[in-house]
Amino acid sequence: MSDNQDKGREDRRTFFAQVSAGAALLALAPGFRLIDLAVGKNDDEPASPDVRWGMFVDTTRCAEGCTDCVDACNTEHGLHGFDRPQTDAQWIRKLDLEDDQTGQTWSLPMMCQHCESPPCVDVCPTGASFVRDDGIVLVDKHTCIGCRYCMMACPYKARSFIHEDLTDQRPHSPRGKGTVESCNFCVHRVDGNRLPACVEACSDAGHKALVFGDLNDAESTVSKRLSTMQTTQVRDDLGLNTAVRYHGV
Amino acid sequence: MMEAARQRYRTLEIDAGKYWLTLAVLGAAIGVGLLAAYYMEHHGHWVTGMSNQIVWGMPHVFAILLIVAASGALNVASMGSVFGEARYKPLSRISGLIAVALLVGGLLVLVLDLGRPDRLIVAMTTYNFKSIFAWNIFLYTGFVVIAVVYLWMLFEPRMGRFSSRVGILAFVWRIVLTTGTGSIFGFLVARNAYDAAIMAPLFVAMSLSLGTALFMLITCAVLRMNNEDVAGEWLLRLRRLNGIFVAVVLYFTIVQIAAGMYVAEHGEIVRFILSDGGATTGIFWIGQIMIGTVLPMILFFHTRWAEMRWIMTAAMLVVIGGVAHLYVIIIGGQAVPMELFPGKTELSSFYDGVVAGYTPSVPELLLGLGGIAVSLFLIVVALRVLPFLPAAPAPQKPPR
Amino acid sequence: MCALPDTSIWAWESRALINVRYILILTVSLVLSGMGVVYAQLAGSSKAAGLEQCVEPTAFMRKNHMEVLLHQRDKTTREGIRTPDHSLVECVSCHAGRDDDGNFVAVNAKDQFCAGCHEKVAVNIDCFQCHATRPDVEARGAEYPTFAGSPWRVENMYCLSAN
Repeated sequence: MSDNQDKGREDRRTFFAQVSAGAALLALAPGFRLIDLAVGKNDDEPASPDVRWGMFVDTTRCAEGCTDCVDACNTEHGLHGFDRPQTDAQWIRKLDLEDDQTGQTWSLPMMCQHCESPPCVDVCPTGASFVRDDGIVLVDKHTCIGCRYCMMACPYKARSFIHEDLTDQRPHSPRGKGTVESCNFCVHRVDGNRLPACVEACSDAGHKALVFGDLNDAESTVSKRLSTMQTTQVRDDLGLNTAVRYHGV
Repeated sequence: MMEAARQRYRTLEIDAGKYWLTLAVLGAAIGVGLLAAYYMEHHGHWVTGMSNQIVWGMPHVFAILLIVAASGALNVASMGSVFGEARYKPLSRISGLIAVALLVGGLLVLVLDLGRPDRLIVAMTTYNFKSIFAWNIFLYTGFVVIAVVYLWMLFEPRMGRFSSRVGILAFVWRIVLTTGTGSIFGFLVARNAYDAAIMAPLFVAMSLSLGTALFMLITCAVLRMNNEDVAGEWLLRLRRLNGIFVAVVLYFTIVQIAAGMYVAEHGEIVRFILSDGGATTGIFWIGQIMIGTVLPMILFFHTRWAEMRWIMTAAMLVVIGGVAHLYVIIIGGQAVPMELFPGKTELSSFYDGVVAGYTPSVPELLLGLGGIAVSLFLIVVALRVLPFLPAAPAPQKPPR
Repeated sequence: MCALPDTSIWAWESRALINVRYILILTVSLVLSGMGVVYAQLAGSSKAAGLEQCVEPTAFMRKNHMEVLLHQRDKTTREGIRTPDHSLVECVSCHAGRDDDGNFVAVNAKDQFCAGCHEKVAVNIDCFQCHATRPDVEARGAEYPTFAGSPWRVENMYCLSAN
């Protein structure tokens, strides 16, 4: 089989993907852009400090028992359990709430809130936990020594420690025993100007409870939602300035 | 100058068989501890009792016990150098030795529990200076360096005049060190069980109490092996001092709990420790309060118990109580779920809103005990090769 | 000739392992120079086997691949720079061989591209404790495409509108 043949097939595939994506985009109502194209970056560009990625969670659109976002995350990052729920990793989880006084209930996804001043980054002895220039909180697993101090420090219980050997990881999501990990806003997708898997899945399923985009861009959908709808930061008493904001709770 | 009574020092003069047997036993314990660490690292931490809920377990209890006690074991040397109490000066050497050995043992446990102990070089070369943990790496290694220099000054007569200055530095350093260790917890804003400046003075107090107790236990044991008279006045004074330190720890514990009871937000953690925590509650009342506080205070303060064996018993109880106290702080503090939405009941697949279970696993315990064995091993070897132990002032043999 | 990347990026490693590193590099290059034939066989079924040279001249890659990877590692993790040439994902995607059934074999499996030499020279690498050892077949089809093919890419959008 020749390289040319391969190349031709790839081109055709890309072309069709582009056409269908374009059609999908055109079908969206004006003002509802899933991601803000103007802030897209090329492979050779570093993450920009002018951007701050964030997420709007509309809990009124989030159904109890729905785990589309969780499933998408698990698939995207190759997360799977070992039938040991106490040590199995979870990057995003569904949290069901019931008001002790009124009995009102909510359901919402809980994950790394990508704080502007994250306690996990403050406490990390080696600097493996860090905030990327575009506001995404990451673990550099090359320098993580597995001390778990960040897990002690995170108010959101967002982090998991890898308790066993892993095999067959996804190429874009390296994960390994003895290091700590958490939601990374699907940084590999964001760098390729794609939406995080959870947001895409939620949107594809028609729930549209999650909106992702640049908080620093006043014209972005996420900014518009946040400026017009009442939202809360979880544990706002800590003053961490989270990038994930919840509406309706 | 002070020609009068030049203090003489001895090595550990037990017979060779006994010495090697001791080393063999301790070496075996170290070997088992290393095997346990290898087992945990090889399989990953799921084979331990630790989980994504209880991220720090028994290794951390033992490690912090040893680290905190290390700082306190230097008390006796400090009293000689810093506070000019001449009667403690003969004990300065062994005090410095115990401090170094306990710290090394504790650090080893901490390091061997890391998810990636093979990356120790990263921890030693890449720092985030905002992290208390990173500061502690400097505080611990600095402490070892200062204590070793201090020992050198004590051993080298020509350096003797600097010993009190280095002693003062060591004293300040170790207060900072325990403040740093306490602040590992004190600066954790996320968890109601910690997040309080009182963790720092609480840890300083614990270090004084645990360090003095371990100093008495180890020093009396080795002096007896050397057939030295151990029932000196220093022991009676240390006994009272240890009683005061235990009381100070109790004081900080009461203040901490009282503050917790007052703040509604902290109610759950206080109820958990005092009444609802099952095993943790039991460990608090029986281990920390009864065994670690009430009994030793009675034994330390009442004249009726001013005997060698009761002092040793009390010191032992203080150490057991210290393990219980650290268990309550470390495990108990993590077991209570963090409240993300106050006033709402939380439910998830990730143990939100439920008390986390923890059963210490055998390898964790063996690793912790291995750390203690490392400390004792170092002490025995050092005592054998260098004259750390004070000898009775009177000449043993009449001049020929 | 490709210039060596800035060494300060892995300063901590060079400091600690300076002698070991150079001895290892020397050993690797000596062993490799005598292994041309074996080398070709190892990678026989991979995409790389059919190419003239790697992303840099072969001799350079044999000697310096670890530094190239280390440099890119920090660029990608810390800054999000994802140029494909020096990316480990691309290395694996291109160098992974196939078995008789046409399925990808892990690059760190016995006698495969990475393990073939690394076992020979007894240099232990921990890349694959975390990183995937073969292209992501199941989710992405037979070839693992780069993100350049992503429908959400800006330039693809522009392309579309220009057409």
